[in-house]
Amino acid sequence: MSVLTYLKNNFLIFDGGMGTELQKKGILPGECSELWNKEHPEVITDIHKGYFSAGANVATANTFGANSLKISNVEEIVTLAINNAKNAITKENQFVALDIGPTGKLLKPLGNLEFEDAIKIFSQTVIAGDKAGADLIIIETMSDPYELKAAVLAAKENSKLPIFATFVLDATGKTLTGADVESMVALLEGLGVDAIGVNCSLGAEQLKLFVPKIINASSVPVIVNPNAGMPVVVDGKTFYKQSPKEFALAMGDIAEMGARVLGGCCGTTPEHIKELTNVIKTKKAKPIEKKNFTVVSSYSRSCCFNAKTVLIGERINPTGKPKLKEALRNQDFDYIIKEAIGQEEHGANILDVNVGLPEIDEELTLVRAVKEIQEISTLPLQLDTSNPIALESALRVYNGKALINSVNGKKESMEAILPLVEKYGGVVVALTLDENGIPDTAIGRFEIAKRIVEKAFEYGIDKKDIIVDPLCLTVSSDKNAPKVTLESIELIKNNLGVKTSLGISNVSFGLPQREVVNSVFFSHALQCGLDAVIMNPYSELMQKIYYAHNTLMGLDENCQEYINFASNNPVVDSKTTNNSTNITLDGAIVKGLKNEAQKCAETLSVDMNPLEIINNIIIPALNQVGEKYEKGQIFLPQLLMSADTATIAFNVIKEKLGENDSSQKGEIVLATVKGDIHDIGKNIVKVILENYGFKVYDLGKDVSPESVVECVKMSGAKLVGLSALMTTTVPAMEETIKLLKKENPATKVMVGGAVLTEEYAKMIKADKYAKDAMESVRYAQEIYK
Amino acid sequence: MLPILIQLSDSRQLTISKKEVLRYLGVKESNDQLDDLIEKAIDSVHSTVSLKASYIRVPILVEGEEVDFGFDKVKSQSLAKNLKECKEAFVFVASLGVLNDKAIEKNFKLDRLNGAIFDCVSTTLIESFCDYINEYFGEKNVLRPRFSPGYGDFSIEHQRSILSVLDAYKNVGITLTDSLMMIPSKSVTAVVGIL
Repeated sequence: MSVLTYLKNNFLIFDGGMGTELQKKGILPGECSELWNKEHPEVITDIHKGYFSAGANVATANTFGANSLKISNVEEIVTLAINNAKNAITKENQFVALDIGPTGKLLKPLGNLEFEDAIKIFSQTVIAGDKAGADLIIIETMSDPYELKAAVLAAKENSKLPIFATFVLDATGKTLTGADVESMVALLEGLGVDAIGVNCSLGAEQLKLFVPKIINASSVPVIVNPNAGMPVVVDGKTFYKQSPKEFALAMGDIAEMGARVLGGCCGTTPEHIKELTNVIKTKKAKPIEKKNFTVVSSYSRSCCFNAKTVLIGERINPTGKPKLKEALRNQDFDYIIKEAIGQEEHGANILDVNVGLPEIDEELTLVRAVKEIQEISTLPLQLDTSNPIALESALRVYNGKALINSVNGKKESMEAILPLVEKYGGVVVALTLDENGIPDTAIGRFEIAKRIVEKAFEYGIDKKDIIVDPLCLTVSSDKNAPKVTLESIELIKNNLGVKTSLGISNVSFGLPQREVVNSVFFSHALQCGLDAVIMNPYSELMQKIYYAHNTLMGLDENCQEYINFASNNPVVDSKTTNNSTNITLDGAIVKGLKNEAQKCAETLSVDMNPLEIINNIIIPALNQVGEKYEKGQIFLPQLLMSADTATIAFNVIKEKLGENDSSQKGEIVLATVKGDIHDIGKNIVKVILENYGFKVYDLGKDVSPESVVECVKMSGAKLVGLSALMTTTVPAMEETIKLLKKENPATKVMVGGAVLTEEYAKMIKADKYAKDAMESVRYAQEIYK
Repeated sequence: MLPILIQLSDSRQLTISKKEVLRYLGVKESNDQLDDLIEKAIDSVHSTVSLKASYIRVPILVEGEEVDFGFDKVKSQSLAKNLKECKEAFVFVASLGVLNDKAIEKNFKLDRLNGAIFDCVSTTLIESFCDYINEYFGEKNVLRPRFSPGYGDFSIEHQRSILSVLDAYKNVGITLTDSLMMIPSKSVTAVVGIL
């Protein structure tokens, strides 16, 4: 019988801790336990035998850390470990699990391990375990959902074995990276994992609190493998270890709650498993309920499509947005990040990300945009592209269960998109159009939606993971179009049982005062039960309608959300806001007054030449600030305040400059060197240099010498600025300088960072040691005289 | 010798001294505008942290310039001097958690000044958390001042063995880069001698 068949009607009992048992057998602290598979195979087999005879069904092979970061002979050790476990089997329904623990390195952007490298590392272990004959794969003790995703993809791509996955929660019920239970379940179910749960970190008594949450969210069997209670001091109170009896008692409660896979982690022994088996004997395994939630997730939170309509921010889509187009062409991701955060702060629940422009590489740009946004924003993303290659790459690196925009009724589209949804998980938006275009009746659109749902079912994609977008055409070209769309929403919702979504803004195309038309249409669509809307979160009118609608429909307890919204957005009396001050632009910059600087810049740029404003007002003001800083009269915060203020003024004026921007003073490449992961100092230098009119190519942190050289060649920069924070990364700085001097001898290099000194800089052959941001400006001005 | 975990669920019970924040910012004289921003950052930092630590208490042997911790031998004049009269020591690692790093990054992307201030507020908070741990150790013991790898000639190479013996990845969520930097960045390892 396979492990999944057995699990259908029974509890599955996992073993307890391996480390605890190895300590009893004399392993020393810090010794590599995986090597004991080779050095002491009989000891490992004995431990497994102990657990099997205590009643466990699954022996977790001794491969927790058997990855290429920790050991050199992965295949050999994994093979031996699986065999050691198999040798302990004495009867039916005893299984061997290939155990995969975390690599011990954090993935980018939190750490510095690349996502694809993590997949490669896990793949090696999976291939060896699969070949050696494991019955299942258990991926466990994961505290970063991103690493967990890498491990699951490695397992899926290299093996057909059942995949069990467990993650670690802390006392607040979240993972170390802040992910809640619902988002973890969404991610794992999306990836098609066979059983989901938690292990380690907490004792059974503490983990018990979170088990109902997992069971309520999950449609697959739930695993609970707690510690035997590690000694913990919580808020000054000490908690001690659990005895086997106490452990088993709590596990009995957990089984009653509906968990189906039970076992132990650190500190648990065959005694614990024996007691657990005794307690479980008297219980009946509860059937596993399919849940019907439509849910997407980010690395830290989930978004469920239920009574309240989900707001999807539309601002990251270049159609009709010249500034975003320019940002995409210049690969200016800071602009995109600000757009993401702005929408999040205006109440968007999900962000649409569309970077399609004919002149850019959509695959690379979409992947970069997804990575950059998910580093800063906590919202789930809607990956919006018609290019399946770009979509697959973005789905791969996306840290969560994505909303996918979109598939349609064309055969070609379904065949390209649905397999991706199956592999990576996600909720897919289905557009009601096919080879014959968009039907002009609601029933026609319903038929296409039905066809997509049926086709998706063939790929194993559940109805709950499909959201139908019945499409909205422009009212100015067809007066009945909005009505058909509204009818379609109701028809599809009521008769197909799927959620619906709609892009609103298209309806008003070609009309004046579009926001009014959009808002009224939005209100009608809400009334029809629309589940999600793609809209502009900055539209006050639509926001007002949204909050008022929720309140009127009984979706807002005590009208609290409406009241909060209204108090955060007070009605402004235009007569009283005109309290202009007598401040000048240079004064505003020196004092760091952002609003005033913006107003002054706007006023000045009406009839003054932009270049004149920059050269005669902004730069002298910055110089004044810079001098004060150099004399020690003001400090870094004030310098930054002025710099940020100047940036605002620049942005106002740059709009006037447009394409004929001749204010550039020269190109500079900035990078924090390889191995160094802190770049706040470098970022400060960047903003000050930009203030002084230099074009800065910022390569970020942990940058290889080769990338620096490549960028210098591409940009033609005469100056490179390198930063390093630690003595351990100065050698990387030296190496970068060496390569630069070899490949581009004319390039000047300035260096800075906490550990650097004038002497040190000379030693590594830098041209200049800049002790602070102002000194780097002065040097840059010298180079580009 | 299992490490023991310490968790503190409410970071608001720790004090964040504005004076310390200004010191990290390199500011000698503050003004109202700056004070205001610092207060706001102090207020918002708490929701970004998850205070965790892991420690062990070990017998030590100090001989000349070498300190033997059992799990590692450290050659360091300054550390040996600090621990000269001690037979035992606490070894601990404490962290604000990885979400704090993300918050610093986010603040910095939105507004550089606020980012820099938020960074310094976070640094002040992790030091304050270390003080809290020190006080906990000091309830029943007389202690020497805490001493971290990187101080004096105590090489940061030893970060590796300390994090390993404290099972820092599993217990606190800390990893080490090849260049020996801890992630999350607001993390501290230290040794505290027991007199």
